[in-house]
Amino acid sequence: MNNDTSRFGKKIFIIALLIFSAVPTPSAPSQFALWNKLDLSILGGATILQGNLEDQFQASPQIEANLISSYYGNFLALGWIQYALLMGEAPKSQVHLGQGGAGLIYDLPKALNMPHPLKVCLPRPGIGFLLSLIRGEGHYENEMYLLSDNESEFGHFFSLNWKIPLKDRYSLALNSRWNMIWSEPKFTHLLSTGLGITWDL
Amino acid sequence: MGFIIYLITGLSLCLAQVIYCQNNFYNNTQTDFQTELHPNFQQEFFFDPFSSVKGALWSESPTMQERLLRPEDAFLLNGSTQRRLGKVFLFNPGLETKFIWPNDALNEEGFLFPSNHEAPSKHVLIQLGNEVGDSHLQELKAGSPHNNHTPFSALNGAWTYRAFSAAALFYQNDLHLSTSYPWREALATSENPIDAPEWNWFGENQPNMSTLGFEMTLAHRQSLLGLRYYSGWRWLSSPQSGLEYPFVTRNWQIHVQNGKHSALEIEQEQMKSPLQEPRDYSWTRNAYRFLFSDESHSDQAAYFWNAQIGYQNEWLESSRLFDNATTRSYPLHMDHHIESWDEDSLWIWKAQGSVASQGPSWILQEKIGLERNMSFLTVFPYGMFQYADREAQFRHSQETASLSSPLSSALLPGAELVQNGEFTIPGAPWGAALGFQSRLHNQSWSLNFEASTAAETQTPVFYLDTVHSTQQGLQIREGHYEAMGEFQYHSRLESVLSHSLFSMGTVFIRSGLRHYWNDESQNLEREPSPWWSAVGIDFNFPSELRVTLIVQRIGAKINRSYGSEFSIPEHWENHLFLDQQLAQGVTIRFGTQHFFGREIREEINGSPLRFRATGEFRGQW
Repeated sequence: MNNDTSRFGKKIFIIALLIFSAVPTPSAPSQFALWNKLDLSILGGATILQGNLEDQFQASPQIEANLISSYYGNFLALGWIQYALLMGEAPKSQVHLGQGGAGLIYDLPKALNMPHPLKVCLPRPGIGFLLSLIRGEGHYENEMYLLSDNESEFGHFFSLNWKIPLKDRYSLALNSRWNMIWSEPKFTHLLSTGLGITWDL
Repeated sequence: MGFIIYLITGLSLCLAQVIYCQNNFYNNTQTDFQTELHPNFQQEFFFDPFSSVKGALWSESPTMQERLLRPEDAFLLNGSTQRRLGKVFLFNPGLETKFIWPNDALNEEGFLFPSNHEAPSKHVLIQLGNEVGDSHLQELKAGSPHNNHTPFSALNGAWTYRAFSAAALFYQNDLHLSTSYPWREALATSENPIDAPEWNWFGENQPNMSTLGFEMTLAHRQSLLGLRYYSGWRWLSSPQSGLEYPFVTRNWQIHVQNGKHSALEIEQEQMKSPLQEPRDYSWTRNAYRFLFSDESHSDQAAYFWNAQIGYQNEWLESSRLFDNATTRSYPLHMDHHIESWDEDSLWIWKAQGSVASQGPSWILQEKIGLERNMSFLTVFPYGMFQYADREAQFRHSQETASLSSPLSSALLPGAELVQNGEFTIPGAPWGAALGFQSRLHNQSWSLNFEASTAAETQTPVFYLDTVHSTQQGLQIREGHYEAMGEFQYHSRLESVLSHSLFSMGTVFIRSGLRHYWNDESQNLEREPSPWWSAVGIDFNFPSELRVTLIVQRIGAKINRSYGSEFSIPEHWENHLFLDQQLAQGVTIRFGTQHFFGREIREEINGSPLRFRATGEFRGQW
């Protein structure tokens, strides 16, 4: 148990260091531009559990909304919410999964200043923290589980995001995110993918 | 004799500093050269001699978030905590009903009145916290844990439209601090279903506290009409058994302010057991208060005072546990604050006292304190400045009280009442504190040094008689309090070396020592850490991201609540905060506490303390 706590701490420490080192140094001229450019994406797709829970749920439908803002230089600010209905192994058993997170995206295509066809193929990597809430129904509504009540836990995520211009202010959005929830005795891993539309606000 | 020697030594040190500083005085005493510090740090450096006798159960340097997650418990010199006594019935039939407020949201002054006549036009605060370690979906493989790791949530909002203001507050702290979930579960299931709606606003964790409150005010020129209603549930410790019991709490208040200097308040508060007969009991207090205040200023002096006079009655009721009782009193509270300054010093005198009439006699009920503060600024070559402060306080607290309530008994779930003994906390502690602080500055460096010492006598100390074990494996204690006859001494030294990065932030190193001594010091119920050491950085990125990292090592603590020493080993208590400003007055925060450290347990019946995380959204405009 002590090792688990220490493990959590180490990971958070590493994430903090990454954020700390990723943000440009103050010697650069101020490029702080939060809210200057904003886009909203609505995506639908699937959530799949990975790791030791891989066999507990089928691939389940999910819907999410991403809000991406200009932030600083080639960094973008990201906020997202997601809902997924996890289908369990037993008949009529399901878990409502709600998640939300905030983090940073690095606009790699813009940073590399590549030609247009290649630019849209390159993903924009992201990182951040998330809060996950679950509530189980059906098979889980007995004394064996606490899932029938609301359970919450923090975690962190890594994401890849593509934005392919379509027309005017609309773009095709493709998002893939790996969520790691700080549960015990092991982390819970969820892979979410989504396809949708981005609207430049 | 020891106290006199101690006092003379302390005064000599202060006198030496006065002579030194007066030879080097500088007439610009109003300039503040203090390095700008993050609020998380700044409160630690605020000069307060009594900080030497205060501390937090969790850490000697709690952050703001830690205070929210784990409300601060102020240590008395006996090593017990005020909150440990809790909001319980301290009752001596025929004499007085004493009530000690815990430091929690129920006791905090509201958003809108009486202190804050100018409410923010809009205010939103959302906080979500979690003690990391929920099994979450891992339950499906590992099974359901018996001891759930639980959340913390708070939601505050205030809104003003012209003369009308309204505010709402929700606060639920599910963290199990001093006793364990199995105890609450057992008590709950023996009397009520565990998910009985009357035990908390939501959730299944028997939270420490769950509060919902509303306030509104209507202002017209200098007049103000305020209404407040708070309701909730909370668990409080019995000082005799050490176990916690649930209460339903309600509080409503009407505040009528006429001009700046006078107001009338009517208040009723009630605590009621949700347990079934024969363990039902309730306590109710009605209070009517007139408040008066005034202040005056001149070029070299300022004078503030306020006074409260009122009437209150309290009654304790139960169907079978004890005889019903009622008390009436006329509390009077006075508070004076005088400041005067000249070219080389600042003098502050504070006097605070409360009395209450009960029957034919007037007795001292609360505290009285005198405080003298002197500040000097000294200029050295090479742009170095030194502020030197000294402060002396005398305090007296009439803590004599008795307790006669269900909490005084070892009330086992499913068992009959073992006893209904009267529980007395004797002693009227009094003592003095002396403090000295030096802040040496130049443009970027700051060295803060603080030394403080306190002496106190007639301090109530807990003595254990017996310990029982329950079927759940918990320990229930029985004991009594005795007043220490001799003076007890306590000293603390602390230094902080900080380097300002100017607009970019601050780095600091901090360390401290604390020591208690007298013949009876081995009887202290709790001994806080004798040493602590920390390094920290507070860094502002040009992207309006503020990163605060504090890495600290805390010395071992001792808890003698159950006889044999229960030691909390030295450990890491580290904190990381990421604050991002979204707009003027609007921030989001992600914070962690106690990361990169081991799981620790601070109470013999308590749940382990471990890594916590919080997310926060705050807006005020």
